[in-house]
Amino acid sequence: MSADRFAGRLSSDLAIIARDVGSLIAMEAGLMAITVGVAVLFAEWYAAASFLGAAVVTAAVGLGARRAFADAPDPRMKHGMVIAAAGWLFVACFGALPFVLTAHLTPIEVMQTYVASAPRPDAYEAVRILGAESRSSLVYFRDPLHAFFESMSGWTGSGLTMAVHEPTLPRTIQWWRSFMQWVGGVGVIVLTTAILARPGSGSYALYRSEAREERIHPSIISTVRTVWKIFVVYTGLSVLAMFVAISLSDYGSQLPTWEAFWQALNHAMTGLATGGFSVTDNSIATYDSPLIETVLLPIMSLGAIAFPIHYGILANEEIELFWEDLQTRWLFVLFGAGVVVLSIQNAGVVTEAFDATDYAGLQTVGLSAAQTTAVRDSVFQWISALSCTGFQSSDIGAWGAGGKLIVSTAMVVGGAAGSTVGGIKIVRTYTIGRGIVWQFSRVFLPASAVVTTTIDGRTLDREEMEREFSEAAIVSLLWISLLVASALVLINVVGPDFGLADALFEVASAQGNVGLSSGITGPEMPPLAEGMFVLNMWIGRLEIIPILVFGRSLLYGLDPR
Amino acid sequence: MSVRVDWRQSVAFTGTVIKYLAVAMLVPLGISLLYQEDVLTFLASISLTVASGVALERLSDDPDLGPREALLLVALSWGAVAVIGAIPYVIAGYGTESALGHPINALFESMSGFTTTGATVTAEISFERHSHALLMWRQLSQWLGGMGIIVLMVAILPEVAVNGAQLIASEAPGPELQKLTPKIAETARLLWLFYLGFTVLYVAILLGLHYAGLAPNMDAYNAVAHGFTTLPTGGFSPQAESIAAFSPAVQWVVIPFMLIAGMNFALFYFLLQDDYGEFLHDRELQAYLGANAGVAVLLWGLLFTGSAPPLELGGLTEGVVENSLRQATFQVASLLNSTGYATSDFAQWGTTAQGLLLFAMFIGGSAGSTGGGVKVVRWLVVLKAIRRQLFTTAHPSSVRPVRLGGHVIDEDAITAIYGFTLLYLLTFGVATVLLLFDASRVGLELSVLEAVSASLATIGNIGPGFGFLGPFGSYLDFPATSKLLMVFLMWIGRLEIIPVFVMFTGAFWKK
Repeated sequence: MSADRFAGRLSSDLAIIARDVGSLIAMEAGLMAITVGVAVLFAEWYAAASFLGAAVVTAAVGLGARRAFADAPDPRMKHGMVIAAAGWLFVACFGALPFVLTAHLTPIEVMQTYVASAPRPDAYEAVRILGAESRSSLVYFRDPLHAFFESMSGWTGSGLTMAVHEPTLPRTIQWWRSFMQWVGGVGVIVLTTAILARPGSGSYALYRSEAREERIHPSIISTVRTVWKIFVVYTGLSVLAMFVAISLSDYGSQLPTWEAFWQALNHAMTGLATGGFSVTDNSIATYDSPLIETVLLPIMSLGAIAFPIHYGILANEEIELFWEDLQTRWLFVLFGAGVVVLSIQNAGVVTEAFDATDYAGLQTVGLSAAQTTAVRDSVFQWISALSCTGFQSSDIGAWGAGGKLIVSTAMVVGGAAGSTVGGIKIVRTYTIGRGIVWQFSRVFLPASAVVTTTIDGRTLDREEMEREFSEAAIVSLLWISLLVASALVLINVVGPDFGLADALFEVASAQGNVGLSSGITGPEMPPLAEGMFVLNMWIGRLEIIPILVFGRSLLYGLDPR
Repeated sequence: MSVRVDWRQSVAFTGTVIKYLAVAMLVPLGISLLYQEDVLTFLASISLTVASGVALERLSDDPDLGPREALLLVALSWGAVAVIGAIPYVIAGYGTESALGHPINALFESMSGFTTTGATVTAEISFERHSHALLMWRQLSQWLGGMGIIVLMVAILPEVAVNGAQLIASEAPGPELQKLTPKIAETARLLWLFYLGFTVLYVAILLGLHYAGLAPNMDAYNAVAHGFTTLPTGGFSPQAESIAAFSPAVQWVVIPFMLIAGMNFALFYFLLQDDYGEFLHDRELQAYLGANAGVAVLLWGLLFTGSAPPLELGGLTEGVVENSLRQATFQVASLLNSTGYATSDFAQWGTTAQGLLLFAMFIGGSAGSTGGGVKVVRWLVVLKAIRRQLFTTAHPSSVRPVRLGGHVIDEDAITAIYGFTLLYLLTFGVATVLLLFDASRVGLELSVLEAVSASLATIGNIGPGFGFLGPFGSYLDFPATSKLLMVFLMWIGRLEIIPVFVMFTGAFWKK
């Protein structure tokens, strides 16, 4: 191939990628424009100006790229991954703009009014970031790294946060955090059902025939059309349920109605998208209400079920999918088994994280008051972790090391592929389990024996099973290697206050896009660790391989060699 | 093939293996005569061993084993050998304060010996506490386990050789066995000869150092004792201070022999035939030596710049070229291939240095070596397969085989390697959580790093860990349940997990 032709082909690949990433950024500008409306509604004029400015810049870049490469050919499967990887990165970059602008444009006196409107205005200490001192957590976002972290955590649906005291943020920023996670949730569903549908993950393609096609635009558009309706309906129901629950709780009954609604709206959006940002100071622990925790369980679970299943149940009334679909069935098995194991661990190793509160019922089976709290927290935290939501109802940093490791395994596995969860995903875990058992039978059977396997109703011959098992094994091995390597880096930079269990937990949370924290994440963390977490969240969201393909194509281009 | 698994045959063969173990016990018996110690311990042990071996042998006299019986035999033999090997510890410790007298401790020590792990439950290693004969038995068990008890049986017993290939495949570390000669018994004999040859050479060099005045305390007893535990990547030492008890000259000599122990012994056959190319171009050997060198250089840099405090054992490393190089090279050579000797208390090193050692512990020796762990060749294949996957993901229609040193690796072999690696990591992870839970149940302070290293050091047949499980520490404080779990881990780690787990599946026993 001559150098000239090589350059020509490379630039056509680049043009396709630039145009499609430009389109994504242009859409993001639209979301920022919507948020300007929210700012106006709350009369937060500095925020409105910031979001408007960010929207203009973002739109200019996005539309510019789209216009410049308008005549590039349609993308094919090989471009899909690179577009997704680059798309998430650039969207997170531009999503950080409004944070930085709002934090720099809002005067200190105005920030003070946000603190005054928070529930406990005197409880917050002033912090000084880049020359400005305020008690509002908005001030943290003057640092671009914190803003980038928050944006990546939002768009990847992680939920780890740099905003220490969320109630002291302007409403516009609170909204933007929830909105990013909500839209990012739809993005992930499209990603896993339409773009990454490969061998080993083929079982959850929403439109199997179309996913096998080389053209990806039609498949994405039809996926979005189907998904967003379900998503909106579920969100509406969740808001309603949360509003009722918050109004009935001790904490919520003292709030003004509109404040209760605001919290219900935000938590429903981030809960359903399994994101995990909250607008309250201590996530769900703020409410300390079993009722709210109970209402959140089905909301988080909905977010962890594959959307093709939701679609089948809602559109075709195939209720039996609930127990016939492999991932959904195993999701509930894992919910149940994990709750039992984690409860035993936490009831056995009671720490100061579990304060003794009396509940009716459990004491009669011989549990102490603290053990009862341990069981209650285990239930909520396990489901929050396995669904990769990251709502926190307990101070996990004070748990025993065994409890942290058990929750970490939930975050590594994650929920069903084709939903908004992170982690390795149930379908891969299951394939690995079957693959290992399949290896067993080959140990004592002759090499020539015909071995077929049935997974989820599909009969796989030797070659297909090898392919699916390879894909699942590689993703898992890379996932675990990255987890361990990052944890070792983390333990070296955070100092002696945190142990290996904390480090593994925190990295599993970032890489699995969960958002639970053992206390390492925060504005005080070393910048190296913060930057590493941004990468962990990005790599984890895209299930690793696309990032490596992205890196490979940066070095060698997209053509075979 | 028989209709069902004929377990009687397997048990009967296990009896044969046990019977021959009595022969090995003649060595410590001789030592006790030499040092005029109590001879009763080993006389009683020998009688018990012969009796149980002969009794089991009577179960069946059909010498033809099917593949499943062979698998069962290998797994059973390793369990039985550990149990029988524990007898001398129990008898010698009976009625004394020695912790080894407790049956569970004795079993732990014995399993740790035969699987060449090197983890110990002794509270104090000294000749005041234990006899010369008993400590030599501890060393000898590692030497017997190193190249493989079954390989030894195939080499010396004609009736076992019939099923040799099947048996060795279940026992030998690594994904596949290189058949050197058409006859499997011949191959087994060659492997043991290399093993014996290196051991003799090593002992001779150590003695040479002693008589040259470079190693005052490396007397004949110590030379033989360490000869028994270096080549099998064992790690037991009759000295409480491990190799730190000896002079730097001895430490430098131990390093190359530890490196040899982690190489594929079949490769030495090529050297014997003057085929240096085949030896030097072996990809696994290159990767193994490269990994050793790479980690050692990094560690050298860390130690030289002060990552370790001045230690009573190990000395000052900061700014000292020779000592930091020696400590780095020694510890890496010892932990990477699962030996477990130490010349420095690395449990007191800085976190970065410990993290590097932990990384090395995941690698393991070469296939066909005496080392434990995941094995270098598996990691090589996994890395190559990942590179292939990146390519085929972007270009789904292309076909690309994975090659290693010119050979195409079979897709079946690749999936088998994935299966093993994942199962290894999974078992290791589950065991870590169980150890933590068990420790908190009895109120034992166990940090996650300690639990991780205990789990890794036993399943990988390495030996020492971090924290109180450091190279001069002991596993004695664990509750009995944890010790039994670790005995299990050492057992399945030596047999590379899958042969053992297969026996727990219904399909193995049916049909």
